[in-house]
Amino acid sequence: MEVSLIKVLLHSFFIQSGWSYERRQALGFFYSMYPMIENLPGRDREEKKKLMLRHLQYFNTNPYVANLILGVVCGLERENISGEVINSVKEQLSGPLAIIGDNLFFYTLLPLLSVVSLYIYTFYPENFLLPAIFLLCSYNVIHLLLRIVGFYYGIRYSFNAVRFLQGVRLHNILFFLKVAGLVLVIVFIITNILPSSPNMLFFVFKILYCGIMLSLQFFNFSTTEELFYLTVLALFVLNFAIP
Amino acid sequence: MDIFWLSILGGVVSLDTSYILQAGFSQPIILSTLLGLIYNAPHIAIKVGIILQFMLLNKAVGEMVLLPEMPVVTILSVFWCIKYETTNLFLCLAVFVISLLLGKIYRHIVLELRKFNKLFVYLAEKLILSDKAHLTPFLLHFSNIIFFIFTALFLLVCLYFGDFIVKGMNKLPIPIKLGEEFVCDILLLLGLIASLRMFAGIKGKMIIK
Repeated sequence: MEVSLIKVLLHSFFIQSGWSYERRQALGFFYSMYPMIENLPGRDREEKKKLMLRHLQYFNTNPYVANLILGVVCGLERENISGEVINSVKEQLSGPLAIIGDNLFFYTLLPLLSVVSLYIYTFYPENFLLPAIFLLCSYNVIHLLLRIVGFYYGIRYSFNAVRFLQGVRLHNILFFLKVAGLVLVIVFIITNILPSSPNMLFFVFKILYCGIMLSLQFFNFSTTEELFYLTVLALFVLNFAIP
Repeated sequence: MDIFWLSILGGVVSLDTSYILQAGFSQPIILSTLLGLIYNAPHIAIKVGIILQFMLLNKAVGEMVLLPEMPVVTILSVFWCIKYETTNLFLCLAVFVISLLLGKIYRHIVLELRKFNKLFVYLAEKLILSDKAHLTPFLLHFSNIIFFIFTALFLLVCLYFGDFIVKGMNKLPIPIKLGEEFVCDILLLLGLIASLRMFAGIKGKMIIK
């Protein structure tokens, strides 16, 4: 891979920098593209200026999957494809990839890896470093791999890079991960949290609490933060209510 | 580590959440373990970290998925829980409440601060038009530095002044009848139930279809 492309890859870690409401990740995207634009052969100063301004327009996606778009755009710019086409590719890819990235990383992987870390802490409480090391390593391996592979596929296959995502069967992977997360959480609650009650009153409180929180969360009545304040209040009342 | 260096650490880590890399250094489990190592109280720190991990992770607000206040809340909670090394559970709960409230204030200021980032985009445009495109990366780094300084200052102020409130609460004579394990279980339950909702696909269910 060329030096300028490696620089693009490294700069892509700053894609969220300078995030603004008007143009979202525009500054980060421009910063990532800058080394490539500077080294584009066969373009004069004015053309490069236009190109830079074009990449300073609205852009918004998940930071972990942005590299696929960066790769595609780099590939297209090197092939000297028209600016309108590149802009349209950017727009069309950024929305769906944002949903995929958010859902994969923030709604599935991060909670799942956190649950696994919790299991590690429960089984090996004396090795207090293990949960953090596991979470840090596993999460970074996955997102760095996706960033590097996505960028590479983007450059190599341009438009067809999206087929790479289709071929991965993301739907099935996400479904499997979500089910695994659900099972792990339910098993943890049943095996670790409910049985550890010192007496019947606390056990009943926990069961009631589970039921109320589940219904409040699932029917979207309140946010986790509001429920936390409610919980603190309930604990305070319980503390004074018990003999 | 005194509160000045802790604030600097908070500033650096918060860059990871909001602006650079997103490598997860600001995840409460990781950050609290680090603080536990620094203050030589790993077990208190990791307990606090695990409770906060599930509570904050599943607290997506609007469009934001990773909340900017994550490292701020973690640092404040872990610092005070370790400092007062308390068996007073209600002080721990009060610490969580205070940290979350301060975190909320921090989030609102950060969101306001982000409005100024459009100035950097306009400046970048002007620099490109005046053939000074090589200066644009400095704008990006400058916006990161402003965010870092703001976070560090915010943490410094909170750690300094918030300490008076926590110290005052520590002196309140509240009889404790609930066990530590029970309170931890309940708080963990809250986070775990919130993650059930995440896994069940209520958020972002579009993509599952």
